[in-house]
Amino acid sequence: MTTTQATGIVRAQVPALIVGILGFIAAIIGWVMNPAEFYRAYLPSYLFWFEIVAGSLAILMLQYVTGGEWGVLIRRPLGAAARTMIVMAVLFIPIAIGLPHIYVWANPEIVANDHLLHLKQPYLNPTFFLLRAAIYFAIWILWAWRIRVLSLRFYEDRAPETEISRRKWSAAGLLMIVLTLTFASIDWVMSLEPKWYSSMFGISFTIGCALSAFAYVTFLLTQLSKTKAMSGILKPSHLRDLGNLMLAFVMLWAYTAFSQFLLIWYGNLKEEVPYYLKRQHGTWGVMAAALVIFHFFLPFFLLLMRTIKDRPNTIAIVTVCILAMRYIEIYWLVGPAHYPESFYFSWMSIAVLIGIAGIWFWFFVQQLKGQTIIPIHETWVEEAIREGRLSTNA
Amino acid sequence: MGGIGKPITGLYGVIAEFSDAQALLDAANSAREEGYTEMDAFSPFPIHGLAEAVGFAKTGLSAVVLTMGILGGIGGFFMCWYANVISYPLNIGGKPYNSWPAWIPIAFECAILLAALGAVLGMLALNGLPMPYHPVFNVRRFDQASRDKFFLVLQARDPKFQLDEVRDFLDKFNPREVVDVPW
Amino acid sequence: MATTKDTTPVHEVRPVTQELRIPARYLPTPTIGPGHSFATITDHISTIVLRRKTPIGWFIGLLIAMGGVGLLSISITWLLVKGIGIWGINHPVGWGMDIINFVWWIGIGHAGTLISAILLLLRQEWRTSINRFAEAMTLFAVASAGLYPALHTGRPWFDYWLFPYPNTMGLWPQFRSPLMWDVFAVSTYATVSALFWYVGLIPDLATLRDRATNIWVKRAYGAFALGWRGSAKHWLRYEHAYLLLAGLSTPLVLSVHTIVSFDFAVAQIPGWHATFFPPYFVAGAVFAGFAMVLTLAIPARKFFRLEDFITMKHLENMGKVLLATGLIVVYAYAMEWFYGLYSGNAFEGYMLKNRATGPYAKMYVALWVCNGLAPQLMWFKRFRTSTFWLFVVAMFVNVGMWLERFVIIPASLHRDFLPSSWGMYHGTFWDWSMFIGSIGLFFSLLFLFVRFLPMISIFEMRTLLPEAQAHSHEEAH
Repeated sequence: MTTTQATGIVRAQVPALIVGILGFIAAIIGWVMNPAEFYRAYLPSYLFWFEIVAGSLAILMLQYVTGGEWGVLIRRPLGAAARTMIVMAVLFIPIAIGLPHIYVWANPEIVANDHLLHLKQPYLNPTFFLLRAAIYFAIWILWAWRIRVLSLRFYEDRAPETEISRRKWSAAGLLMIVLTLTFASIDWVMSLEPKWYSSMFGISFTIGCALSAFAYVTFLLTQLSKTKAMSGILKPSHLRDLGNLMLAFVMLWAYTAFSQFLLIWYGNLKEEVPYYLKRQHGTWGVMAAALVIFHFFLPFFLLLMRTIKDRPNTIAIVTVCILAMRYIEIYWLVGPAHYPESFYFSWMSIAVLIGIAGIWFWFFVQQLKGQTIIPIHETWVEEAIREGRLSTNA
Repeated sequence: MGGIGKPITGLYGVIAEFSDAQALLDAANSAREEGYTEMDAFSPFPIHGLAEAVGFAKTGLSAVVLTMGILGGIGGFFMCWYANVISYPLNIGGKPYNSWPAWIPIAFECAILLAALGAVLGMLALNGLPMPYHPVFNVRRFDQASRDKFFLVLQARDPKFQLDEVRDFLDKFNPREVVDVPW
Repeated sequence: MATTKDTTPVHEVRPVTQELRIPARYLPTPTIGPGHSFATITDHISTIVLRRKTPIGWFIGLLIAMGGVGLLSISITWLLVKGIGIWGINHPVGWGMDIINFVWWIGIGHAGTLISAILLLLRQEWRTSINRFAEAMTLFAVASAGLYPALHTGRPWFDYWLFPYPNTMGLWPQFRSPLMWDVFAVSTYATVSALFWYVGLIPDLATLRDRATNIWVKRAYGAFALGWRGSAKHWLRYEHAYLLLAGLSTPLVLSVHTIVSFDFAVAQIPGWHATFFPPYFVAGAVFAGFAMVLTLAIPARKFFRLEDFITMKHLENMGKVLLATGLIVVYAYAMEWFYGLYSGNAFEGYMLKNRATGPYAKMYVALWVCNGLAPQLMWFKRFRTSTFWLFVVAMFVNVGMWLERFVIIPASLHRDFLPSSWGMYHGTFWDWSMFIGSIGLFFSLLFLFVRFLPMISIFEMRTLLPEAQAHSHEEAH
């Protein structure tokens, strides 16, 4: 008997899969009707779930490097989410197929007639793009499984060497993930506007991933805490720690987003500023304002308050707000590249969002199953090492 | 307390000296459970739970800091806006008069400055510091309170205060000594 | 829910039967040496301040540092007489060593706030023995930094024009200028750092008041101790205020170097206009600051025999921070190249080529060696736990971060958009004398600090002892 089964999350697995398949069927109908619209709708919805997966891997490694009680309850869900990277790699296939519909630079006839795009061709071309994507996924999957293997070994041998080895992999992994996410964000999102560039973009995207993952696991934890198996384990202090970390990432997000905007607004260069001009008129502008209010001010003030951070029900609302705004931001980054004149939102984005949600969740639960949801043995050893209670017998 | 200019006379309270933090905390908790309300404890470092033990829980600082921070932020933004839009508009590099993104850094700094001042001055004011004279300084060994000794004082203004009872009560906790504190 | 009703929570806890075998090198290094009590900590640290006899080494050190202050005074006097033309700045290089030194100093200051504020919020106990020292370093670094922009205005006696006050001319500062943001950022930073430092000192000043034997010394410390008596109610508010200050200082310290980076990044000059400048500058500042903390802490702990309080664990952790922030800086250097090429912008491309092969190429290469290569030694525990190597790496970083600002400022400015406006920049005697002078000022203040104030927070060190843990009986069950 494992706690996972007792938490009841497993019973959501099959319904989720069914909903996911239904979502994908709807999306395929959309694809038949209008392939270009489908591909363009696919990217933002894919990125939303990708952020959670990539962010989970990053936070998991951060937890293994720094230790700290904040991560004890979320290690298992983070690990499970990180290992679903294989699913995300498979779900990347529609993007690979639809490249010319999504990215301007993937159309040879346009590139041939555009000096700047021609100049960028050595980097922005379909072959190299797909090769890079394959490399990113290979690296992410490798790290997710390597950490899994070390954790399993630690479970067996409980040798500090194994823990140290996992910590080293995680330290190197943090370096790796910042670099790979930087380039992935350049490839997948920034190159939607191939003439625009901003060196903050990769940093901002990485922070967005971490924020998404924090919001997701915190939400999951609050839901699990309602079940009997988890009752009495989740303490207000756990949620407060997670709330504070979310607060920090909300502030970091605002910091990078505002700095990038201010510098481009101030510099007012013709190769940079159209990016924001496009994104501040009409409904795109309304979305930008919504980001300022609901992606920064609202969660910021809510997360300052202990009464909100400490209670599962209230912090869950904040996480939902953050996750919703993550989707809005992604759509605000992606959408105007395809629909610069006026706002457009395809129903297919919703279909894909639900489709990936269901299928991804099935795999996520599959990974989560069959293990304790709290890595008790690990914390015990770590704590003992930390407090010096363990004596050497070497 | 007497009027201004009139020396206060009489007894401030009774103080007990302890050699370790746990003894002080236990004594303070027992005193509160016994029904004493006017007391204070002194220690060379902060002890978790001691303030609650002497019947004090809310610092009231969060509200001060939040208010000051919001005032500072709005004030800083208003200052930039008023100076460069209303009072003395200047065209700089073709930027709009109300260049709101440029007001944000200063608004932020003002918010932090006022909030920090609120935290420090609020802490000092609410603690009643600076206070150069206090009766506990009359206790001969009180200078050890900033080194390695722990003190608990039960004040004379406590309605439950009975000199002999208080002395006996404090003696129960095995203090190093129990002495009267004059005003 | 039917299935969960009858299931009791089962958490698989395997009883630990096997003996855990932990090699000594994996055991934690303590943050305080063995055999200390509240009294020994208090006496050890306060005696350094209160002893009658001052070690001769202190006088020699102060004398050398005061020589620097003398040089600084002469330089400033000459500057006021002749104007900023005595510096090497020219057209097109309008910002030279004055701004390099300003950024260098203010960056050094940032580690102090990071140690005292961020590490407090992250509940990192190891900060306790170094935070006071690091905060003092922040203050003195900000003082040294503040000199430069104040003098660079050319007519420093009109510097008060930078502050917004209603005046007969009806003028206001131009708040769209990032230089105005600097005025607010640096003055807020100086104020909040001073507050943070002073608040941290109050309980220790009370200790010194109570320990001092000379009545005048007692009164002097007593006046600044504000009548602190260690009341439980006071402690509660005190700790809350300290935590709030830490929470405020953390975004503040990020904002300060961010605004310093805005001074450059809002401009359109290639090499300056990059949107990642804010986090890049912040990381660089922390990097430089930790290098300076190591530079100062390693000799100080030896000289004042503080090995029990500033243990190898502290030094090793600082080595790790050095590595982490160094990697962020290297990320920035590398991404500069990527974006320069990716942008397809001719000016960006030329800027990079000029850095690598232009007249300042040697400095650019040296920068990579100092900031890129040297900190990589910190990957290895052997180097992280050797005071010699830590010191060497820290010195490399001190130099490297100065070079970084040189590469960013004059090396970006000297090749203007029009080749007819190209020029070169070299620091003059007065540039260097001011730099050396400001180092002298920094060290003079530091020498005075270690003589007259406890360089380690006494009351926080007390809390590190196991005896400091007390529990109310309600909590026990």
